[in-house]
Amino acid sequence: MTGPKVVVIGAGHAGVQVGASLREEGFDGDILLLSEEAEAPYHRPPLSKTVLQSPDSTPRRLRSEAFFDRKDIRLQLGTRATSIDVAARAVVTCTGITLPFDHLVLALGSMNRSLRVPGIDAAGVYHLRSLEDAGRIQARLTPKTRLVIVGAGFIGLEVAAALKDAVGDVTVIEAADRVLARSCSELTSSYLLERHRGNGIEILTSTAVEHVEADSSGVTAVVDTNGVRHEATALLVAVGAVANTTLARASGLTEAPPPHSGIEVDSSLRTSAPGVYAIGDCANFPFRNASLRLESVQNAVDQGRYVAAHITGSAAGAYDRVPWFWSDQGKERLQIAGLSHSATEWVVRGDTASGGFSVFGYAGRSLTCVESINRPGDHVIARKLLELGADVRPEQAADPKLDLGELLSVRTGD
Amino acid sequence: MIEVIFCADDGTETVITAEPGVSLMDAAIDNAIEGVVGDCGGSMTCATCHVFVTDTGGAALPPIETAEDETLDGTATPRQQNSRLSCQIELTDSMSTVRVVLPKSQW
Repeated sequence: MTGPKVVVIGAGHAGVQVGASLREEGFDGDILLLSEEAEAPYHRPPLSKTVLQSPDSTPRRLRSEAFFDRKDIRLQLGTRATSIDVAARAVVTCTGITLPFDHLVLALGSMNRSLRVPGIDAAGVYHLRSLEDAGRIQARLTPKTRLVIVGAGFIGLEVAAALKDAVGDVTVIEAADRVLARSCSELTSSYLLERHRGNGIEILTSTAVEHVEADSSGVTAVVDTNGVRHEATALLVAVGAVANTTLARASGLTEAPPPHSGIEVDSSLRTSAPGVYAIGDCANFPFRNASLRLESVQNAVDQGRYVAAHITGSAAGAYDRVPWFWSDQGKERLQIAGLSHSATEWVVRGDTASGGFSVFGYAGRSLTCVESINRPGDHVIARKLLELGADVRPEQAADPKLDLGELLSVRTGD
Repeated sequence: MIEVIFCADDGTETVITAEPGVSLMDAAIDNAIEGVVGDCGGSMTCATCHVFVTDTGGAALPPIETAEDETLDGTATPRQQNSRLSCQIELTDSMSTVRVVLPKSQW
């Protein structure tokens, strides 16, 4: 094939979408997806839920083998890219093979942030990123397991809720003063904290891990910063993710500064290297007067679609999709539309004591995000309202008799 | 085995066979049917597995529960009377043929 060559490093949600969308856009050049994992590309969200509950549970594949064959997308598993020669436009893999490209897409994902405390290297201490990790965790669990989870973010709470009935007990240790401190409003944090505690999950806030104890069988206990010793036969470290930038750094690509970090890209998701894009969890991109990095399926998939359109010349303008997210924590479904980081006022829609409600976040007069607990109707309308930039006044958000769908035809003046 | 016919927005029909017990969405993805996306893998939150059901050979579909009904308001192509999220339709032995029309766009 002598047409243009696209190489995608990473075959997660973002990488696979690039390949699929390129063919949808009519691209007929060569497409190669490289994955360092041995497994065929799979859905990642189930890893913190159903996959941990049973040794027979595997996540769905992102696409069938037939798909990759029919679309002539070459998938190379178990292959790690070790360097990018920006000037020569080539990728070198761990087996020493050189892969030339016209367009390169870095869909590297994120990596687990580590917890550096004494004893953390004991057996029975886990991170969760891949299917392989999930398998190892699942293999250690028994109905008598005393599971301690460090971190009450999305992963920590999803795992706690998914396993509370399968193991002996679950304790979550969170350093911030509330759960989901980086992601959600205080209202949503409080609601979920109460529900999880009510379901028998012990959650300690404003508490960190001081050290880990172990014997020849592995971890035996976690001692916290209040001096309390918690018996633990399995420990999951879920203290956040960092962008996977190793390859980019080694290749001299520009990185974004903390707090979000990541591979810096412009509004068309292009890195500092010609012909190289970065998308998904690993990319720091400009969005509505801010620079951020998002860890979500929606962001990965929508950025994958955008880059495919950009490569084939059909992208219209900057990348500007409204972010959205979901987190299933036991029976509690949290869905978020928009971004909460700039919201200063919150308006409740519904009754927080009723088991379902939404919280509308405002920055000045602008609606910036909506968090919904067990209210999918509010969530999907909120996505559309934010996409359209519709004017949603706080009193309208709070009025249960007003059908939010009616606001879809009202746009802001500017 | 159940015969499933996917009628694309441009009129092209693709016929596949599927085993009972899988969702209509899974059958589509497994057979590389374009036009059924399913970004969230069947978690009923992305609304990109939207289909219009035109024939089930007389077999009953599982009833629409509230969450599916509400999520259908989030589809890219406006919902119609016969709209369903295909991740919520389990193909069963009682269905010999299922025919669905795919929306113009899923996102």
